[in-house]
Amino acid sequence: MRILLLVPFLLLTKWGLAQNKVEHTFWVDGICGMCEERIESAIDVSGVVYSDWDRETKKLFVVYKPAKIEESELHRLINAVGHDTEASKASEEAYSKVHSCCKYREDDTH
Amino acid sequence: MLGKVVTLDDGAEIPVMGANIWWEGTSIGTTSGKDGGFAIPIPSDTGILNVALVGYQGVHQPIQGRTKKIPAIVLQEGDMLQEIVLRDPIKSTELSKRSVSLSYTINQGELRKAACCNVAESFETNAAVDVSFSDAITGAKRIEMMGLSGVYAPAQTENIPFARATSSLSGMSLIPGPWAQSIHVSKGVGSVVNGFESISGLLDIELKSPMNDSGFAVNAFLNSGGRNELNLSHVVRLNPVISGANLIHASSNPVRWNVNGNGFLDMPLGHQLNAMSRWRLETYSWRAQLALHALRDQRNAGEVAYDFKAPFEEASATRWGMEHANERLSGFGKVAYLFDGVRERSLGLILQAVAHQQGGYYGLRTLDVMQRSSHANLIYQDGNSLTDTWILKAGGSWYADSISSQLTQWTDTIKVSRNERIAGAFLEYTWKPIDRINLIFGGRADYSTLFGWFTTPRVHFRWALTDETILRAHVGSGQRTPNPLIENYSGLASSRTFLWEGLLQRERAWNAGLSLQQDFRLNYHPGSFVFDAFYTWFQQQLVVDVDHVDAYSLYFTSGGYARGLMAQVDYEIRKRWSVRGAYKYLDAKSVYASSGLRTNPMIPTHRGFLNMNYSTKNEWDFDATWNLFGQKRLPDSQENPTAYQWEERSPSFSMVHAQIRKSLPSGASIALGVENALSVRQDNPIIDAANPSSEYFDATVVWGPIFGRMAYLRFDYVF
Repeated sequence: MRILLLVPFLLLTKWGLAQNKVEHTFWVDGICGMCEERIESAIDVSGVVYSDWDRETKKLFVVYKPAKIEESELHRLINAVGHDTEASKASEEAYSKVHSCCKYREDDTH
Repeated sequence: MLGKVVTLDDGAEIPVMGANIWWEGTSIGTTSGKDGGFAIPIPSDTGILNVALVGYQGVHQPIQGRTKKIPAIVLQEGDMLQEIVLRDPIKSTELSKRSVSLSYTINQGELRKAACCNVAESFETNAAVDVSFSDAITGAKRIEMMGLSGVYAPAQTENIPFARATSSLSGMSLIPGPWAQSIHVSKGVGSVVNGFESISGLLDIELKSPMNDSGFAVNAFLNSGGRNELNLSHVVRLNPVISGANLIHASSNPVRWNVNGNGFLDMPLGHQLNAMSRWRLETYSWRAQLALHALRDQRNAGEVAYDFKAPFEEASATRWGMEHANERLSGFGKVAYLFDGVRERSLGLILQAVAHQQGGYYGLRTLDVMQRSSHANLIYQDGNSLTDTWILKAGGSWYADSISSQLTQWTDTIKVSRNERIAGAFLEYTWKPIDRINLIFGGRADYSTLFGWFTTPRVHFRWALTDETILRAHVGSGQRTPNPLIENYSGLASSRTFLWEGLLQRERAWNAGLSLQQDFRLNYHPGSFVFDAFYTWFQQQLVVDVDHVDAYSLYFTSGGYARGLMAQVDYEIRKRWSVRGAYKYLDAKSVYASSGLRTNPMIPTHRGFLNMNYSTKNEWDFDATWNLFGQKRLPDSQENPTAYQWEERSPSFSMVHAQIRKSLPSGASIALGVENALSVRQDNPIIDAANPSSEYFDATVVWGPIFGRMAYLRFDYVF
C-alpha cells in the first residue's frame, strides 16, 4: 500500500529534476550548528530549492536551478558570510565576523 | 549521561565549574559542578551536546543516542563573547519517533502561536485535542480527545498529577500558557508508572525552568474584548547545584460585553492571581525538586443587569447571575537517587498535597466543593541501556482523596462526597527482543477503600519497519472515580434539574489503538504522515444524559464506546514554509437509560484541520489555521413547545485563526493576531434568554463559537 503512495512522489521528483534542477555536493568548512544555520541561510535565495550541510562530513548538498543561479554564485554567497568552500576562500574580513565558536580555520590542519 | 568539563594546562586536566551544558534545540540542560562533572538526561536519538562558558570557545559535540558516559570535554580559550545559541528550526509540534506510544510534543513554537492564555487554550493549532465552550455563560471549557471528554486524559505537570477531582476539567485553565515549556500529548492509555486513571491519553506539561543564569521574562496579552494578562517569571541559579524559578500570573477580564444582544454577558468577568515557586537541586547522584503553587480565580457571569455587588438573595431574586471561584494551594516534592551516579538505575519519590476549594452560585443554585488530596509515588528504575534490551520500572503509589461536593437546587440538595484511599503497586517491563521492536508490558494492582482491588494491565508495541516507517499498537485498561457534580457544573447554566443516581461508582474502560507513522521526502523537503485508529470501550461509564429538556441526569451504564481515526500530514514545502493538514473521524456512543446505545451529543463526526506557517529570514512569522467542524448531534428538544425547540443536528462551521509575529533582536517578540477571523457565531446559544427563570432557560446547547472575531496583541520579552 505504501509503495503505491511512493509512486506519485517518485514521479514528481523525476519531473522536478527534468525541470532543470541540479543536485550538487561540495565541501564547505565550518564547525557547529551556528555554521550550519549560517551556510544554509546564505544560499536561501531564489533559485535554490534545498540545501543541507552536514557538520561531520563538511559536505553541503544543494539542489538548485542553474537557469536562475550559477554555482559560482553559491560559493560567493557562502564566502560572503565567512565560510571557505572547496572552490574559493572567504575574505579575512568576512571570516573575522563569524562567531568565536565558529572559527573553523584554527581547527584546520590543512 | 555523565561527563566532565576541563581545560588543559600543560597536559594536566583542570576541572571547569559552571559551564553550561545542554542538548541543542532543547531546554534540557545543566551546569558542571566543582569537579567539572555533570549529569544530563540521555538523549533517545543522536543529539548535539553544547557546552558553553564565557571566555571559552563553545563546544558542539554530536553524541550517539543512549550513550551513558562521554570522555572529558576540553574547553579552549576563546574571546569574551558568550555564544548565542540559534534555535534549530524545530517543528513546533514534534511527533516522537522513539517513543513507544504515539505522542506529540507541542513546543514553544506552537505555544506561541496560541492566541491566549492558559494551557487549555494552547490547543487551537492542534488537531488531536479540541477545546470548546460547554455553555454560553460560565466560560467552562469542554475538552475532547479521541472522542471522549478530557477527564479521561488526565493532565500532569512533569509526571505529577495536576488535574484530579476539582481541577479535572478546569485544570488546564489554571496553568498559564507562558509557564509551559512544552506539552506532551500521549494518545492511548499511558504508562502504569503515572497511575491508573488514564483511559484515552495523558497530557504532561513541562514547566519552564532555569537553564542558564538568572533572568527575567515578561509576557503580556491584550485582546479586543479587554481581556488582559501579565506573566512575570524570575529564574535564579543560586549555585551550580541549586536553581529556582518564581512565576507570577495576573489576569482580568473587566469589560461587560453583550454583542449578541441576548441580555447575557458574552464572556465572564473575572480575575486570577496565580503564583508558583519551584526549586531544583542537581548533583551527581541526587535530583530534587520542591514547588509551591497558589492560585485564586474568580469569575462572574450572567445577565448584564445582574448586580454582583448586591447580596446574593437580593440580586438573584430578579436576575440570573453566576459566580465561580477557585482557591487552590498545592505543593509537591520530588527526590531521586541515581545509583553509582549512573542514570540507568534510580530510586525516586514523588509527594504531593493539594487543598482546593471551589464555590459558586449559578442562578438560584449553589455548588460548593472542597478537596483535600495527597499523593505519593515511589519508583525504582533499572535498565540495561548498553545493550538496550530491557528496562524495568517498579514501585508503589498512594492516593488519598477527601472530596465533598454539595449542590443546592430549588427543591432538593445533592451531596456527592467521598473519602477514598488507594494504595497500589506497579510493574513495567520494556523489552527489545530484536532490533527495531519495542514492547512495554505494564500492570498495576491497586486497592481502593471504596471499590476494592482492581488491576490495569497495559501493553504497548512499537515496530520500526524502517527508519522512516513506524508501526505502533497498544491495548490497556484504565479506571477512575468520577466527580459527577464538579465535572458537570456547566450544566447549572440552565433550568434543568440535576438528577443524580445516588451511588458513586467507578468508571472503567479498555482502550486500544493502532498507528502508522511514515516520513517521506518530496522535492527534497521532509514531510511526515501519521494515521491512527483507536477504540475505547467502557465497562462502566458515568453518562451525562441531556436528552430530556428538563433534566441533567447523571448515572452509570455499561457498553458505551468511542472509536475513530485520524490522519495527519506535515510537510515542509520550502525552507521556512510548512503546512499541516489533518482529518479526524469520530464515533462516540453511550448507553442511555431511555434510548439505549446512542451517539453522544456535541461530538462532530468529521473534523478537518489545515495550518500554514511561513517565516522570513528577518524574523517575521506568519501563521494561519483553518478548522472545519462537521455536524454534531444536539440534545433532544421535542419535549419543549415549538418556540423553544432547536435543530437535531448543528450545522458544520469553520474557525479561522491567524497571527503575525515579529521577533526582535533583543529577545522580545510581538504578535498581532485574530481569532475566529470569519466571525462565525452560533446565533442563539441561550434558549429563552429573556426569561432565565422560566423552565425553558438553557445555555448548555452550545455547538459553535459564542463570540465572533477577536483581535489580540501579545508581547514576550526575556531579559
